[in-house]
Amino acid sequence: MTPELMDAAGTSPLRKTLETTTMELNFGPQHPATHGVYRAILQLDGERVVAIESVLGYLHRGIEKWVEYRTYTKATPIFDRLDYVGAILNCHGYVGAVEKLMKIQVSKRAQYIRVVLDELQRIANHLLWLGTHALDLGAMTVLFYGLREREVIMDLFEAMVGQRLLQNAYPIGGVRLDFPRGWERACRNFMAELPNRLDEYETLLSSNRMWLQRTKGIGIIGGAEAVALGLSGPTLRGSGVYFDVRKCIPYGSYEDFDFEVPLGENGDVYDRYIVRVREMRQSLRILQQALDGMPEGPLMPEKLSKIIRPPAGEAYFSVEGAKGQLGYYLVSDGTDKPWKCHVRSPSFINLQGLEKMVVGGLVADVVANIGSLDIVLGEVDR
Amino acid sequence: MSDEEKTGQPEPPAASEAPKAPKAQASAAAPEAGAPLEPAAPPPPKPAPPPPKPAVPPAPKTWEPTGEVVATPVTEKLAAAFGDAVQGVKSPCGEAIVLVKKDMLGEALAFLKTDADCAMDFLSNLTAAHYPVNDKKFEVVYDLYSVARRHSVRVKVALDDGESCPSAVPIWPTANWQEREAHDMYGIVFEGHPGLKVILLPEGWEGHPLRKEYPLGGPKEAAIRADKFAKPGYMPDDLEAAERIAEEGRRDS
Amino acid sequence: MNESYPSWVGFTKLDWALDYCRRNSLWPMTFGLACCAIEMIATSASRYDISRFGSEVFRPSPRQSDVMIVAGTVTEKMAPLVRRLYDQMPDPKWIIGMGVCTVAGGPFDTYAVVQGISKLVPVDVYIPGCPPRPEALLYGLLKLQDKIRTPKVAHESFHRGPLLDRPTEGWMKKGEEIPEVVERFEQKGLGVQHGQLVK
Repeated sequence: MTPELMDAAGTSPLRKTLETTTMELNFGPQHPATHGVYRAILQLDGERVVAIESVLGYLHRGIEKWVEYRTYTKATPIFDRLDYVGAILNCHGYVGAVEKLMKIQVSKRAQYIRVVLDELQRIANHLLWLGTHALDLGAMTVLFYGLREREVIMDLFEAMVGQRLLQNAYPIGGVRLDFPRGWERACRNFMAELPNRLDEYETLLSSNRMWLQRTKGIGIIGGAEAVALGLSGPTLRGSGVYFDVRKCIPYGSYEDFDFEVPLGENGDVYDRYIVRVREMRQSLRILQQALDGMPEGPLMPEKLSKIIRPPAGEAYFSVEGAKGQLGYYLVSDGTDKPWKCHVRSPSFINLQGLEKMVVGGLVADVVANIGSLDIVLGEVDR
Repeated sequence: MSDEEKTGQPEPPAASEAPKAPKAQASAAAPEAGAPLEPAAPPPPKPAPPPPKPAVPPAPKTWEPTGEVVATPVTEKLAAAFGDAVQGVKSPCGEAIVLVKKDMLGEALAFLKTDADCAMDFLSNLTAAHYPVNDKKFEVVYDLYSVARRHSVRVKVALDDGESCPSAVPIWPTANWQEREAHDMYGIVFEGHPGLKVILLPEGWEGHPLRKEYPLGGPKEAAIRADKFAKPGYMPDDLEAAERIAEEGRRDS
Repeated sequence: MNESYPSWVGFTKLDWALDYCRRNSLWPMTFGLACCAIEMIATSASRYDISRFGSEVFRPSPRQSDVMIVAGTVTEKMAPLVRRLYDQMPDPKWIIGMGVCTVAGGPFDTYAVVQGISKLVPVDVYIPGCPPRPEALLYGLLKLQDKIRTPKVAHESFHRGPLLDRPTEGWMKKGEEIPEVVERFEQKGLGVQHGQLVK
């Protein structure tokens, strides 16, 4: 820089004319990598994300208001539509909340059947998550492999409750029907196959240099910060915090089963991925124990009135949904219609953590982070 | 329910001249009143008035929860620290719920987070509710959980229509979007919130949908109802009669 | 022309040839909004392979797609975007409405849901179901191919008549049985009453 080009303050006039502004990039709502209709407005400085603003509500269907106009029984099917990938868990949460409010004792056999279906749904959810997450980051094969396994699970659901997706599986009080003949054998065949398949996916991804480059060290969020942000589920456990509703606030006879809760170390995208893969294996453990130790007994309580009329009061019941802590805050005024049913949806609250994960990183990592959060817009927007 | 069903059945027409009273009374009254009252040409029995419906509880004057107040170490510590401003709320299923006065709310929540025994570092759920029959129409509900101690408590605060609530965002950052949602749905303003704007509804939406007076269909309520059935939820007015008819149908087939 | 031509030479109208190409390579746009999107993904997976019907790739961009499969609930906030994406698609374009939410708002008769996307865009094929099975989506795609083949109306030649040789007048009446079905069960020694097995 020749001296005559410098002004009195020592800065070059060239620098003053080379002003930079951030670029505003609209990400979604119609986008293959947003896992639904999620919109993010990114402020970019080159490739670096300076700020992110999430715009939600593109799938807001007014479910909480809808529920207030239906009886408790008629309201049950709508909750599958919240987290439509892991639907049975939503149903379990809602019927659990009503049962808590009415102090209905669910029989042991029904509880075990619910555990079996819940864990199958959790595996199905994680398989789809893995497929779409890998697809976003470029590994297309895993999607087809994961969906191949998921089809087997959906066949099991169809044989058991009648629907592949959005099953409306549980009535208030228990389970409707027992296992069909041959179902347990099919389930055990699937459980025998799945560990090999999971090994296949891990061979493809876990030590893959490209995968590690795209996921290690990306989107790090610390444990205390994650708890303050209200994250839950594998997103929180990836940061090393031990909080699993099945262990910490046990429900539905989960205390009978022996399983581990996998934790991550660094809180990056890779840790959240590995936590979920290990969770699938732990779900297999629970399935094995539940099927082996299935007690005999009735499926529904004997005295259950046809019209569900809980006492006036409120209850908050949470299950370990596929995405995190799925809570139902149910207020009853003594009539047969709920006064209020609020869903504490894990995806909605986990999505708040996206800002912390993404700011300062590259644009391409936004996709990796959204995938690692495992959001479902039906749950986010309700 | 079963009694009512029995009395709902039409009595055989030629049987008795006694007025169509419940069967128990008819069998008792018939011997005494039946004999003298035997006209030659009995008038055709009038159709019976429907039996009295079982008492569907009328709309409550205030929303009173049933159950009992549960005291846990957390609620006791809170009561010890804040005295009058905290009172227990009844719960039908054994949950610890406290109602806090609005002016002490910020301190109470901060106390619950920072106190070593309570250590409520996880705000599980923040929502609001609308009770038009109560004096204070709105309630904001905080479900708190402690990851370290594994206990939980629910804190509620009652607000008037138009009253604002101190924001919990300085204490738990997770409250950010949940307060925005409560504002969208109920119209409660949270003071101290870093950016209270629309989150789930379209921009410029008027009205707060989860309030009880807001119709289910919103601005298009009339159009939707005309298109579908007249009542939202397709519910018949008289649930008991519908149940009875359904039961009869099942018995016939 | 009566001269003999080799069998691999055909004569047709240009329109028919173009329609043949168009209907056998309908590239959908990824417009999965809600739960039906999961069934759409399952349809594109290996079991219910949609690419054997020509929908080889799902294009993320509307500029490169032929058919927009609206899979899921359209809300008031999303409605203008649906219209905008439809306008951005180049002609010829078609729309498949997948799921009852696109037909009439589905189960949601609420303030935030558009009661049927026909209020926004012209729909060619509706696929009811909540969610429709992947086979239903494939059937809808085949119906759309029919419609492209005969642009005036998708005729019924692909639609097989009732499986049984008796007239069905709408819904079965209470107590009605299908004699052939009852016979098949009775041969095995089981009784059928109202469609339920009775020993």
